[in-house]
Amino acid sequence: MLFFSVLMLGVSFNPKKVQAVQVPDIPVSVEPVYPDIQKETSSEYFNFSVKPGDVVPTNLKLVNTSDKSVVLRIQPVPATTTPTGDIDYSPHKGTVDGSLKYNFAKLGPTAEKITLKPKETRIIDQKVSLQPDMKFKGMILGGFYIWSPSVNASAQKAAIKRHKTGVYNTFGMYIGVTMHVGDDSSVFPDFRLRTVKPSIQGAEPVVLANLQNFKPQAVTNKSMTIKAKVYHRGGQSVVKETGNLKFSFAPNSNTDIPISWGKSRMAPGKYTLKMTAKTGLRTWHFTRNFTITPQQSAAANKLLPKTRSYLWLWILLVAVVVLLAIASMAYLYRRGINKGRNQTGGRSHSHRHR
Amino acid sequence: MKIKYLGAAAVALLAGATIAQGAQIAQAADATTPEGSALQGVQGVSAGQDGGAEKAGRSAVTDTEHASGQSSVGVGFKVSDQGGLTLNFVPNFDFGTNHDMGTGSETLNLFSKGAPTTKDEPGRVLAVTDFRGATDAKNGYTVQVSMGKFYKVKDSDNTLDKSTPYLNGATLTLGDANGATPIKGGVLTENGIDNYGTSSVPKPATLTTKQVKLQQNDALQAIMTSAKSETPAVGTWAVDFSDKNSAELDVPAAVQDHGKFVAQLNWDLGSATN
Repeated sequence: MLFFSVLMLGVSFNPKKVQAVQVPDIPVSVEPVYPDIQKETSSEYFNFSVKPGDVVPTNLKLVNTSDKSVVLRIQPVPATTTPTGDIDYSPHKGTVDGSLKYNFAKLGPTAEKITLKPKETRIIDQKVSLQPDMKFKGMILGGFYIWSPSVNASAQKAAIKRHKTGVYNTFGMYIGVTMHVGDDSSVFPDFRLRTVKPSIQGAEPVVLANLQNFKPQAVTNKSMTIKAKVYHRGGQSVVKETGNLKFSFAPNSNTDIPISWGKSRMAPGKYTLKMTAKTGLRTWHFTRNFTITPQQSAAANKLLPKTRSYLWLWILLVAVVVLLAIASMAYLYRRGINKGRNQTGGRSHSHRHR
Repeated sequence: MKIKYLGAAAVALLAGATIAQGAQIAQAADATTPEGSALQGVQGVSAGQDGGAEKAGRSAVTDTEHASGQSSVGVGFKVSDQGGLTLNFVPNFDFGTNHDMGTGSETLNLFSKGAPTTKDEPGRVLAVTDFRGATDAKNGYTVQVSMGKFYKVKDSDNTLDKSTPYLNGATLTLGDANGATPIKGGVLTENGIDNYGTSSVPKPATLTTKQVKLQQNDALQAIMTSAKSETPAVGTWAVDFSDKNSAELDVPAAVQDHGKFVAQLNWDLGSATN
């Protein structure tokens, strides 16, 4: 409580709004320079409405707070969706979603490699421009990702020098850009279930269900609930399920949602996936039959701990029991014979003595 | 008489098996006892902070203690002149050394308990300060983390062999994999972390901290999120990694290998629609 009152006090005496982002190891702060077109500046990132034909500056203010020069890279990226339902503003290799018509990174922003002098403050000019003949309404979501390759290289070098197995920390920053083109309040997300296939994640067998938002509108603030269940085909009992997953979803993006087998082995066979996705406005139901081949299940199970088999012990035990039984039967049998022999022999023996 | 003999034989067999197994476990446990801290004496890791945290503005490249202008950032809770959104600390994860791979041991916990949290040395924590825009700030932030592939350190010339990834299938879990409270945290004060459970300041409803399981695929996962809200989580909030069990590296037996391997752990902080 004391902490909060101190904070509020501090804040009330400090009306100047500073919205820079900063991370360890990179002594540079990054701040969006809001365009005049942006009404709401408490967003702390670029967030504005535009129409076809508009050209909007999305400049970045960088401040080197150290007395060393710093090399930085700035990469414009389209927003994507992670398998855990977060919107991702970091660079990715590979192709963008097939339904993405207007990729933020290709609407005018440029990738930059810059060197900031000690204590230097620099405005990096960036802009987005929409063609006048653009027939589009909806949300275009992207961002600027900022990192220092030289700082990353140094961190790696230090990790190598350590000469031990482990992980090393590196850092990046991003400033999002949310563009509402035309009346995007009438555009809603819509989903398609695409491929369903077995795979391996870490050491766990999983089924990956690829879900695509093929509309130019985002699901924000984790306001979508997804639930997926895998059944034996034609059966009623659930083989594996996800529980309730909270999802945000970038416009025109897709992601592989894992349904994990955990530490248990995945059996080949015929299955059915049932998935429900629910927002405040709409519910989607998906059903998909799929087959896991023996080869696929073997690949998915390959890193599970080997189950320690006690079969040999039982075989040995049975063998010993059988052997002992045979031995004792033989012994008894022989004793029986001996007894008989002894009886007759005894007689003859006594005979002899007599 | 017969039955007695059979019983004794079976008991002997089972006893033999048990003893053999016990020896194996003991051996494995012995072999995985780490000899030392992996981060000790490393450039870029503060003395005594092998199991600690890296500071904002503290450069791993140079020996500068703090990048200037950053001394007010971090713990202490003065509203710094700079304000803004700062990733103050990230934990250094040290899983120790000389693990004998190939003995079947799969889970490596942190080498030591984190240093006690104080004003100057916060121990092993992840901490973010949000002092942007004060009371009208409606949007939060997200700290995301991803892990790259493990590459082998070549003994010959101290470089990474990037031709082949190793330990494929290794998973790094941030947060106690088996604990009742997978992620602990709270507000960072001058005396360290005031945990949510005991704090006079309750955890803001808009702040989410989540256990993450990282695979070697560079896929980002949000570990700490402050949601868009009329009452966002301003101030300095932290995730506590002081427990030895607060992170673990699982290396499946099938992919264990001899050598030294390193992987990149990338932390992102930003503000955007989320």
